[in-house]
Amino acid sequence: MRNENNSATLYDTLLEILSDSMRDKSAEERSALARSITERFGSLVVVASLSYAELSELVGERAAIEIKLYAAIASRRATDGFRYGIKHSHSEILDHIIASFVGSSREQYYLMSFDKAGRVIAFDFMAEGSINALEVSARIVTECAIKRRAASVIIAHNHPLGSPIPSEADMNTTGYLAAALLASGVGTLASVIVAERSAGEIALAEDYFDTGRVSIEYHEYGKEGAVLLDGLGK
Amino acid sequence: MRDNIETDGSIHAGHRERMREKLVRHGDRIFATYELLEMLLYYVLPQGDTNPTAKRLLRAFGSIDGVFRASREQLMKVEGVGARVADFLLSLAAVTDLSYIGPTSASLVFDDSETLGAHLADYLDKNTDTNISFALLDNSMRLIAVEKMEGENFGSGAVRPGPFIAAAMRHGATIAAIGYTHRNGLPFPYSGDYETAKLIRDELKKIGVIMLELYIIGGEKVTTVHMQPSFSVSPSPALDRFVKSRRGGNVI
Repeated sequence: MRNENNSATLYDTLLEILSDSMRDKSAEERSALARSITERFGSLVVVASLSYAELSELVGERAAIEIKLYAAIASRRATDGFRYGIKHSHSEILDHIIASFVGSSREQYYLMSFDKAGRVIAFDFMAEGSINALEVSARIVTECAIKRRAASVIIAHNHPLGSPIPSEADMNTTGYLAAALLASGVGTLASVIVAERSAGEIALAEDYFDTGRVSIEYHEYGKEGAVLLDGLGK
Repeated sequence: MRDNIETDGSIHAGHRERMREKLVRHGDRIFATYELLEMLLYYVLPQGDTNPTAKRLLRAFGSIDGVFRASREQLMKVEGVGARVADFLLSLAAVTDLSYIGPTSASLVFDDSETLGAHLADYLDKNTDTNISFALLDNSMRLIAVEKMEGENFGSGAVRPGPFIAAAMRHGATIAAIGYTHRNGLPFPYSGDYETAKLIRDELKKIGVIMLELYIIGGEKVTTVHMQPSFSVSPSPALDRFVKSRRGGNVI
């Protein structure tokens, strides 16, 4: 199970963690648990999207903390090098947003601010909610955009252990936040929904406020480009 | 390679406990990167202050990513880093790399309709104590679980959505499909089967779960009833592939 860099896979890592935290279990039991978690979740990112309570129930409290810590390290590895004050490609921006949510088991809202030249100025935390419900205040978002002197923004939030598909509530929230921002002279480029290692992006058309037109694209972390999602009909 | 982090009875043990409590209570956002690395080192350095070693590692390699990209020899040149610490950090290089995807069993990903139907038919063939199976998947079409559901006659009105909703929530599923064996051996859906399937589909939709198919199994044959997704866009390319793989069958 070891790769060419001699780094441990998720299974190896879980086995190592469980050997410490579940000493009362037999090696076979620990191995079976590590294997079932690996097969069910596939990657650290997904395992770490469970809440502390859920993780503790699965692997014990100590192991839950260790898994969350590993996920935090993974997030920092991917995001610490992101540079502000310069332009980034679309994929770089989406990757940064996806990586910022790794390990979060609660819904969170962030705001990415851009200047007139399209340079990224900041990526600010806005609010946190329960596992699948979050209300974000238009006032907080607008104040942040004004403080950053943003010309435009991307709104981002996550669906822990869910789908990156925008819900009706996501569409509505995007609409009212975009309207509030526009009243302050700030354009909304997109609203991004992150789930696991992927993101759904609601891109607002130029005539959005007249027509409500948006396009929705699907991105995967580390992959260039996006898939424009076709309507599947009602 | 690693050690029990509870063994240190010194002042640092209390500090470690407080750091972990903060992590649980507030999440990682409030920590500087060197503090996260400091905590990571608890698992390999059971005693003492790991803060200076964390800071030295970050200075030496420029970033947290740089630390995990360094070789064993490079790591061991840093003061406070011995073979054990170097091996520990190297062992985590892949699992903390977001580009790395863990080994999942390809057989557990169902991005075409026929294969999922065959899987449920096989499941019911092996589990003769039930004739209704419920497949639960995530949005990447990875199979989370198959559950046996109670009820002999799916279309009689006796089968209710409640247990299906409970199963979907229990497994955190976002996609679902049902397999149902007609004991009479005929692989054709009856009107009652349609009605029950629609009822379950509509109730699952309320909790954000997409029910894709009802597979009617009779003898060696499987007839598929496609439950037209009631959303305007697909959550993932895997689901797109699944929908495009559909050949024939009824649509409700």
